[in-house]
Amino acid sequence: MLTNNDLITVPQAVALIIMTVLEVGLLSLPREVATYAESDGWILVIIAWLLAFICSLVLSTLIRRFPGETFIEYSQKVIGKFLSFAIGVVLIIYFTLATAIIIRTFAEVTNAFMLPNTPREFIIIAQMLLTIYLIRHGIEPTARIAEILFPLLIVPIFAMYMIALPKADFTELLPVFNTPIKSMAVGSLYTMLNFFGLEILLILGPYLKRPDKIYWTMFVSVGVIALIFLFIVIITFSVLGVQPAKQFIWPGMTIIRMITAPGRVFERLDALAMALWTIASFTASNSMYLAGALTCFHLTKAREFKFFITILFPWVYFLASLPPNFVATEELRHIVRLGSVSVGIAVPIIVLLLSIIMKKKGETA
Amino acid sequence: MVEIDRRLFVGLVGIDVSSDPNKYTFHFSIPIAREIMGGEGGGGGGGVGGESVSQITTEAYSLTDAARNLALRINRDIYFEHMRVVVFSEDVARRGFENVLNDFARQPELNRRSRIAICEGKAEKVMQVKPWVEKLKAEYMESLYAARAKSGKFIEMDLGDFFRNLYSQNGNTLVSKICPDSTEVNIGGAGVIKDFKFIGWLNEEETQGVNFFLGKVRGGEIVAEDIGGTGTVTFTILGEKAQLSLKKAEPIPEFDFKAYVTGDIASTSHAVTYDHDKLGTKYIEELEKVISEEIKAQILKGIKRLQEDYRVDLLKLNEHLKKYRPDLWKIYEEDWEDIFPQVSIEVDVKTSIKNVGILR
Repeated sequence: MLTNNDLITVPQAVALIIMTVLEVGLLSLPREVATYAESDGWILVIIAWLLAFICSLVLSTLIRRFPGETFIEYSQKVIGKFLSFAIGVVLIIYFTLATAIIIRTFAEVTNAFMLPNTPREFIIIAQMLLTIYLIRHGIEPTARIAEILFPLLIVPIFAMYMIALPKADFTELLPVFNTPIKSMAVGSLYTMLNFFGLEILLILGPYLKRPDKIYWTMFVSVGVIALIFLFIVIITFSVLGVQPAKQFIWPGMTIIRMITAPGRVFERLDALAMALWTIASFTASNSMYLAGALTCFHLTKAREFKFFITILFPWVYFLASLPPNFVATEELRHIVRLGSVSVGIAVPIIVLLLSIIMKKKGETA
Repeated sequence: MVEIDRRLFVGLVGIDVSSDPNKYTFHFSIPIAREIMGGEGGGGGGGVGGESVSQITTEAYSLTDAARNLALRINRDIYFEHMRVVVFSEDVARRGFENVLNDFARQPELNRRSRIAICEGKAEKVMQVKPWVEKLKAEYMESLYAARAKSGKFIEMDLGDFFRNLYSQNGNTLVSKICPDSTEVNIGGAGVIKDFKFIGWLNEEETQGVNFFLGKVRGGEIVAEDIGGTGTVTFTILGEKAQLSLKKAEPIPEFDFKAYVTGDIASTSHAVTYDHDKLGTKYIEELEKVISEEIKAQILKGIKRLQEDYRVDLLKLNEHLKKYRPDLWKIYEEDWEDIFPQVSIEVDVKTSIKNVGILR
């Protein structure tokens, strides 16, 4: 059923996962951690890193246990046909919603910083058409695009924020460990939600060329993501200050507008930044959309997955235009992230535990 | 999409109070591209022969409202992306300006790198200045504020820094001052903002003192009486390093402040001719002491003014406590406004002279 063309290599998988998790939400990350822990925000990122790594271990163990099988297939074995079908439907809804929210946030940022007069609907549809064009070709080209765009995104992000360093005041990161344990715990759980996107591993399983190397793949991906998060939080705190970081909706974008390199060589990096966030949200919505379509495909056991993309299109568009304003978007985003906890952590843990108890295993490939 | 030739770029924004207490008078100064071209290119421009900068005034509730008002009068689109300086009049600032400031913080198209200043008297006066040095006043004023290496007697900050200070200090900050004349402006001194309201000025010396305290001085000069009372000595500042530490915590915090200043001797009343005494090590050491004393006096003046007259912590002592002694800060936070004036600060300045010029 799967042609060789549809398998992705380890570097491709790493790139795909990183690019799925990195999206425009990153721009608001400093605000979120500052709200929970003030100057201790960067510690939250580190704790969230560990938590996210544990989650990815659960997902990876499932893939190791049932190599070459889709999530729907092996969950059927473990929890029965009906429940597995129900979870499949939830997954489809979740991935559709996640695609919608990523594209919507991208449209909001574009509207705020780049194209104030362009109708939001136009930005959404343009972005979706591009995504559809790509993912119709399958998972391997999608992963390949992620692999190609990966350095194009990561290197400029680091370079761009480095320019802000002369303005940085690292005493803004003081005091350390001054946050009550409770808000620290709540905060790190919320920060972990920023790693949403890791659950595409549920879908990715059967397409990996080397499922035996999945632990290594996840270690590298989660590590790189966390380092980028940490870097952006520290730079934003030290350049913008912790209190203002709480106030701005997208502090990560605001500091780019404040950057002046010595000698004014680089002054307005907004355009570059927007280009980068376009890449980030494009790749993230690719994976989410593809994951949604593939789940439909696995669930219905249809001959090919392409027409599911078309079926999902109006729903993604509808959900993306649903929130009337930014505040509503943010609420919807929160729901999506909570959804990511349930489908990305709770469900896999239950399935894994049950499969261990019931001693169910896939045929060893 | 608006083409660039259909846009007007605002260089200076001035804000005055108006007769209606909820409204403000907004002044925009807008450079006219064709006139600037004409002047510098040697008659290439059109035949209007007018001024290179025009000024528009309107009354409105907010900046955005003002820009919309102008839509009825001006066919081109007004753009704030290249805004250089925003000037608030004393009265606007005194009334409390979080409302009128909100536009500047909220809207991304307002240039966050533009300077912000409070002017003595009406902002309109600043708008009417016709600088003789430069053609464009926005350019002129902005580059004045960029000259931190030439003087420490003004506050160097852009809108981004301003909001950062304002938000992290609960509405207290120092802000640049601007004083209009007919062909020049003077940016020496500073305005004191307490709780989003302007409450008074610091003069140039006090401003330099506070800048020394915050470790922000990168240039400028110190003039002190020369040893033996024979005249004055001028000292050029090259750089400064400031160090603040908590000496005693209870019952009222006490701070230890050390500043290390480096610089050159620009002129002295000694060693004028060859037959005089040469500038020996001993003399230089004595001079260092004299200059240190002068700097210390300036710092103390600044501290005294803020503690006694304005009772507002712009020395960032609160930030120091919060960052390095969060346990103490929890105790003091509530009554800091009352505690701050009683805080004692020991000031110690060490000056080192690097160069004496080319005379012995």
